[in-house]
Amino acid sequence: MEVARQAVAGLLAVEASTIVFTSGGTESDNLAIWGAFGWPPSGHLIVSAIEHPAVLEPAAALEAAGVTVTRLGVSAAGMVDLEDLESALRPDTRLISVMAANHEVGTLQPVEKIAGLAREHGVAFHCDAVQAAPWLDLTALAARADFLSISAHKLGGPVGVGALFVREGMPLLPHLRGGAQQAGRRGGTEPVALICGFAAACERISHRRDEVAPRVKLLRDCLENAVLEQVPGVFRSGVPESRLPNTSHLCVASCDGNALVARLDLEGVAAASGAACSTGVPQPSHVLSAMGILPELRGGALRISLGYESSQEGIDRAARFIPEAIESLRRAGVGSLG
Amino acid sequence: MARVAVAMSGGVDSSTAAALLQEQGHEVVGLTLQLWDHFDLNLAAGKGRCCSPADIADASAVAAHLDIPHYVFDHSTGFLRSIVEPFVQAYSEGQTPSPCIRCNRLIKFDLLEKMARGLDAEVLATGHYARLVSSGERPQLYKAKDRSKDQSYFLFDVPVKLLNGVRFPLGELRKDDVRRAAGRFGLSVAKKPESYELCFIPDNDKNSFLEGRIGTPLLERRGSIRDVDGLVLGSHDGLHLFTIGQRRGLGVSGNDPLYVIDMDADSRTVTVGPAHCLESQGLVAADCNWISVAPPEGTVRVAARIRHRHEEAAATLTPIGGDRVEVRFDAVERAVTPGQGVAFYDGDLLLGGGWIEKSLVDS
Repeated sequence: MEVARQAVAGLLAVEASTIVFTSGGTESDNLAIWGAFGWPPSGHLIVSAIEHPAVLEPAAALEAAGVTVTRLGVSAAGMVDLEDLESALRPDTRLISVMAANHEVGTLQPVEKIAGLAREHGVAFHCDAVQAAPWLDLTALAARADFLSISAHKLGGPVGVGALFVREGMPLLPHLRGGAQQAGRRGGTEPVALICGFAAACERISHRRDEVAPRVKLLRDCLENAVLEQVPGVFRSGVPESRLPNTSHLCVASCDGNALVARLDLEGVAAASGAACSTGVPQPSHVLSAMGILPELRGGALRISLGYESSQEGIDRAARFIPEAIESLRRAGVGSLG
Repeated sequence: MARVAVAMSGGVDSSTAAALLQEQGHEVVGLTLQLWDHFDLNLAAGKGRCCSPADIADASAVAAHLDIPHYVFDHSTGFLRSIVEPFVQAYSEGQTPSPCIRCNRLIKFDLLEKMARGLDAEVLATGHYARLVSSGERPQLYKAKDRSKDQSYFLFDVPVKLLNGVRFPLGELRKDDVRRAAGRFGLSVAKKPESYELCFIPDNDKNSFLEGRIGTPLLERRGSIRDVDGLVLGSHDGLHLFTIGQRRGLGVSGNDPLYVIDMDADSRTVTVGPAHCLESQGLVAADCNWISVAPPEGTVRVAARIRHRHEEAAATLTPIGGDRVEVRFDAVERAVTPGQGVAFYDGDLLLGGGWIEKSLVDS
């Protein structure tokens, strides 16, 4: 298992002793946020408004327990503004938590700069890098962040395991007690088989990322442009540059996003409307509303994620079926179901 | 065979409908509407009402068992707006609404039919107990073979153009047959109990639900209970607590059993009287919808069903302009209730129906 820990640490170019295995990204985020505040919690927390619920909900719970929480708005492109962040800092700010790449629209945040800013002000910085890890080199970020969350299944590893990087010397209150495992930072017997799968995924990502990412970006652009050119009333969310190479997020007017996803699924094209883990959950996207996207477009969200094995053939199929599906749903009058 | 979309609620009826269509060789796609936000309830507490998490999980399990695609669509905002809010409003005004009939018209058939077409399905099937023959110019909608399960009454307000693309695979079956078929298909819901409650009301406690949602303070809801001569017999805490024909829970007593015979929203008065005061000679219905026949131009003989499970009354129907009709019963009927739907039949054939505006009492 310690060999596996080294492999996971290798993805971030950090010491193996800084890696705490968890059950996944959600636990990593929770551990970082609760763990950094300790108990009873006090002081000030800064998060962006477009964080994953695994950050926003612990933040809200801390708020209920007496912590002041600032939720930074984002630009129409979905980016946090550094000046906003700096002016939100207070003498009692304990932690800043901003994600590396958004889980819905894929926008990249200036996290290396945020990490630098946090360090200048002596504030701890947590980065949810779950979505970014398969696609970005995180070593420079890990060198400056205090906490960083990743999840195995996003990297092609097994579901049910993740890790939190905890900078050497950072205080962290464990939230699972009952064992001295992982240097007392998380009790419970480690799931060795999952951890070995996680390690294998990290090694594979380290070897292949630089070669795969540019190829996937081309495929993504090819698909996105095909849809944008063929179908009127489709809008790209966020900026074309500065986002994950594998994510395309489109807002489709007069077309219900969930119906579109169902229709594509019947054709064998897997897509999502909103965050993958919230498909089927009736919540308007907090990410899209923070970006100021019109409510009438939010229902028609289509999120396409490519993987390491995506092929030109698959993209061609999707580029054929997506416009067809949108037109057929519009003909049937399936607007937003709201 | 054609692609068929099946509306799946997680109950034994719609589950069996899906299995039967699949057995006939259709490519079946399951659709479930989430109409009410039960997310604050845990799975056990949400059991037994349609579109609770447990029911959606049942629908998913059946779809997985049959190996058919299954999609859940959230329409809770629309349901709240077009069904629940008017339901609360009607009760607060002393009416007795029929939300299931409205829902069939405004939500279920409308939305699912669009969805089915959007998914390239030729037909939308549901687990309703009714028979539909769509060969001629207009679809012919008949009562179900199993009279005790017949749901045709709830369908009278569905626009006829939507019914053209609809199938009811259970119309010829008895409930026992359906349960047996469910068992034969190995469906996990084969023995699931029926739900008779309104899907959005927890624990079948309508009054608590209404009280939580009627914004008016108690003092502004209170009114008097009077007898037919206007004599005050007591007071009440809101018109929503009553329905025409109600006998229990009035909190007043007389020599003979007393029934709610009228409610007046403006004065918030509930009028009670002996049983014979409930009798009426006819009714006026508005917003009529005609299914198996074109809107009648003159007087016709019909059998009128004035509530679910009511044995139809022979009557004469006369159009009185707009989409309104006047219905005169051959014999008196009890408890004609404004806000309820009235369905018109010719034998087993559902002609159409309308919404009861008022009861006609000859003085």
